[in-house]
Amino acid sequence: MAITVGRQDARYNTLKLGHNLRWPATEAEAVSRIEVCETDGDTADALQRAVSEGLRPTVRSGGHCYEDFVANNPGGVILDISPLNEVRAAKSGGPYHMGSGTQLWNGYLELYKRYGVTLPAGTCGSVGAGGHISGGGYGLLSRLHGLTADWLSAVDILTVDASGKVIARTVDRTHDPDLFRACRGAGGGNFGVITKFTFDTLPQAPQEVMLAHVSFDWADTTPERFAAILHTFGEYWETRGKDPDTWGMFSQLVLSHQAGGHFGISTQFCNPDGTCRDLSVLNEFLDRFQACKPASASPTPAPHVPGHVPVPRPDSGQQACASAPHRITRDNWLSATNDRGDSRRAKYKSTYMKRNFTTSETQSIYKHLTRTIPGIDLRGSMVIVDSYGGAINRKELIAETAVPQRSSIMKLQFLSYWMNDKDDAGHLSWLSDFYSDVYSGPHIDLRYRSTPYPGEYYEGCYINYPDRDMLAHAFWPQLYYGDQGLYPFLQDVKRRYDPNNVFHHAMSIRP
Amino acid sequence: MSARTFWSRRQFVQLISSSSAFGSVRALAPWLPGAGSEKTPATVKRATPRFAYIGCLGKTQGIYVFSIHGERWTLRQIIASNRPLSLALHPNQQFLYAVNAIDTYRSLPAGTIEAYSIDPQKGILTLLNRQPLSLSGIMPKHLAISPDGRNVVVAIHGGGAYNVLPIRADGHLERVSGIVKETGSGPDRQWQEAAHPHTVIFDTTGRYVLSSDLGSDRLNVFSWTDGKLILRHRSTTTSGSGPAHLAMHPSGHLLYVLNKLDASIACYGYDAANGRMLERLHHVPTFSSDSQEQASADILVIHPSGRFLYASGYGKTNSVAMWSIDTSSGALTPIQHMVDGLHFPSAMTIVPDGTSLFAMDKSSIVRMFVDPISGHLNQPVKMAEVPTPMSLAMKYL
Repeated sequence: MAITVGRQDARYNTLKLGHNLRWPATEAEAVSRIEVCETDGDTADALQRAVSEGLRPTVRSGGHCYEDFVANNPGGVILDISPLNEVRAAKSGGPYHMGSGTQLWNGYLELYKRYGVTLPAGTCGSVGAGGHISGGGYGLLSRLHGLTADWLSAVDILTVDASGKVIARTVDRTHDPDLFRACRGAGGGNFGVITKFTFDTLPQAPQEVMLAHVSFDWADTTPERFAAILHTFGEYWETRGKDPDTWGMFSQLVLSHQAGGHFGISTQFCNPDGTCRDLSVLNEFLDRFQACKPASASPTPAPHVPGHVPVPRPDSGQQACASAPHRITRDNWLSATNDRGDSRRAKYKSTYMKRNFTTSETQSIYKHLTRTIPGIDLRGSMVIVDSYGGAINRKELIAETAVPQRSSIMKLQFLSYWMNDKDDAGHLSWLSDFYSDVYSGPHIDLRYRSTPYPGEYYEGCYINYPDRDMLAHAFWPQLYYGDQGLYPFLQDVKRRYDPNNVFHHAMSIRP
Repeated sequence: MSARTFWSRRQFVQLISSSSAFGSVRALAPWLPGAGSEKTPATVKRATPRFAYIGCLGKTQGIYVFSIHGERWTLRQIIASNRPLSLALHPNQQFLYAVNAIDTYRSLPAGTIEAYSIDPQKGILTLLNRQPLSLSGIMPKHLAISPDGRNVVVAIHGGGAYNVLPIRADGHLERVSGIVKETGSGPDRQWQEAAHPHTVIFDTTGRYVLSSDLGSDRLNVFSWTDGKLILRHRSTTTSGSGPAHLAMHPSGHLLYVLNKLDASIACYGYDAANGRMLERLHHVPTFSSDSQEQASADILVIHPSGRFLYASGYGKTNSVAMWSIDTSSGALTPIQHMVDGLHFPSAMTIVPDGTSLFAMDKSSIVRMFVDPISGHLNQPVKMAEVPTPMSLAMKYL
């Protein structure tokens, strides 16, 4: 039996929340209960109960959904499948099974210690496998090994048939192949509840990696120098970065707002064979930035990674409790203990880039990263430019998976973190104006103005960085799924496997 | 609109001939108190149409407001409204609620409900507010207001759901307070791929909400307590029948169900004390068996006397058909079949005193007098022109 946490339960007020504390925005948006599911059978039973009672189920593994898809579920049920976290192989060499509630850091540990393999997944350890993999999750090894979804061999998923009955399926290339393909990147909360992922094989973990950090001071960064850094970064991935000998290198250009004082590049490197015997590729890459006069080549503190970005702390004058002179913040115990209080309010946007930055893009980025808004602390605001491509860009994977973006050389994440709801509007409008400006340059087709519509320059947006603002565009599905037929395919899968649209959220596949 | 040709092609099929004269009010409404030995439903009262609200989907979409003085209908207002597919007057007669059968609102997949206040003298509408339905609740079909006027219940066809929205004392709608998400399907691949709630009504006790689900061939009874819908009982209709419009007999014990997909009308017993659907008592094709085509029907209305039932249909056979009701058994006897007199009749209502029936067709609203003895409809008379009317609410003096 699942553990049912209702409104009277002491855990309710914590478990109704995800990491992004913007939702539920009101009591009315909150679920009526959370079902903590310890087995696949629990999950099926809890799902069946919800459906039979006419309640909307939403699903949580790691709780890192960027938008309100899970926590905004008025009177509904959250299926918390985080206990489905077993990582096992039938025998050494695979196949490997990973419960969809597995948090990435545990997944890495288990796969490495038991089998010496890994998954090319993301950098935020507390992200759950369920949403990450089903949305095409990627990470520092993805240029070398592709996306997580590229390695999938089978998925255990609970769907709800036309009559409202829960059906447990194991889908793969021969069983429900269309649903299997849809589970390889279309994003969570669309077709059913995934309980387990299976990988016939997984790549060996690197023996070692090199970590390099390059930092720049905002204080002496002119628009010209800023543009030079971005162009140098982009030029590498557009040219040299396409050579397979560089695929073991993954780099993040973290463009923090000027309020943070500095910005920089964090790079992880290994040779394609998983060793660090030959560092010429890494050195060649780092050398390119010498002309940009980095402040220091010495390691800076831990790299900024999505989900673990330092949030402006209470000493910024944003204390939730205004009982000066004491600086006190309120947090739920679980978050304070496990996330060190980093669960906060946030907003995200994304872009797949096929080419280096244009002049208008660098100008817009500079403009907004140096813009201030009275009363709004933008130290938790930035653009993260990830290197991309390499093994991800194998074109044959377009038809096999639900990730059509296989030509990009960089992937951008625009994000802002803050503490208090009174600052929502300031942060949301800053990010929205920023993004819109970047994609309104002279190279943008007017029909798709203010978006990175797939074409010569872009491949749209990443569904695991969902952005409700994109719903304002009738073509939002094409931003996330391209305009080459994937979205109609996904709609067909949706109609066949979830005919009653039980699984829905603001940006779910429309039936 | 070419009313001339329209009416010139009119014909009546009289299955049972009758003749009647329209005389005094008492003769018009012999079931009124003191009018004789007919059964006398307590709710029947003299009523004069004063304002009409007509939801139109034509090129000037909106709610058309007419003032009515006898035979004279005067257009007073066209208030913009997005696909107002169903209208309901608040029990206090001061507010009107409209279902907007749309699939997107503020970029999200949801239909909406609008609240209007009614000017007591002029009858014109002022939008109070508009509330989105629950996420994925697209293409809502029908709404009903609780007898205490405190909530509206919505049947959401596209999203397969029911929503409850509280109504404030000033008529404004609050946000959705209750959601029932349905699942289910039927054999018709085109119309029954998923649950499609179609009609919601309160039973005569006000303690239960009845609904039809065209997609899953089901009739549902929800208990209605403190503004909450709780599923109490389901009954399954004939597979593929597509139960759609509902009409509760004034006695409160017979539910008539218009099955849209198999073009039939079924009568079910209803246990109002316990909120349960009982067995199906009768079943008739929507239109007479002598017509070549069984037409799809849309609307059922029951005469306030409880003695006659009318159904509108369209398709190859545009018509209104009428049956007499055996009020003890619920049995239907076909009486009248008006073929080709109406094009695309989409909504109907009977004046509470039972003297006339208003129906909408493709581009007008027509009135038919009702023979008080036989229930026969007299010749349609066009009262006003309106583009693609779909819904109708009337306010009476």
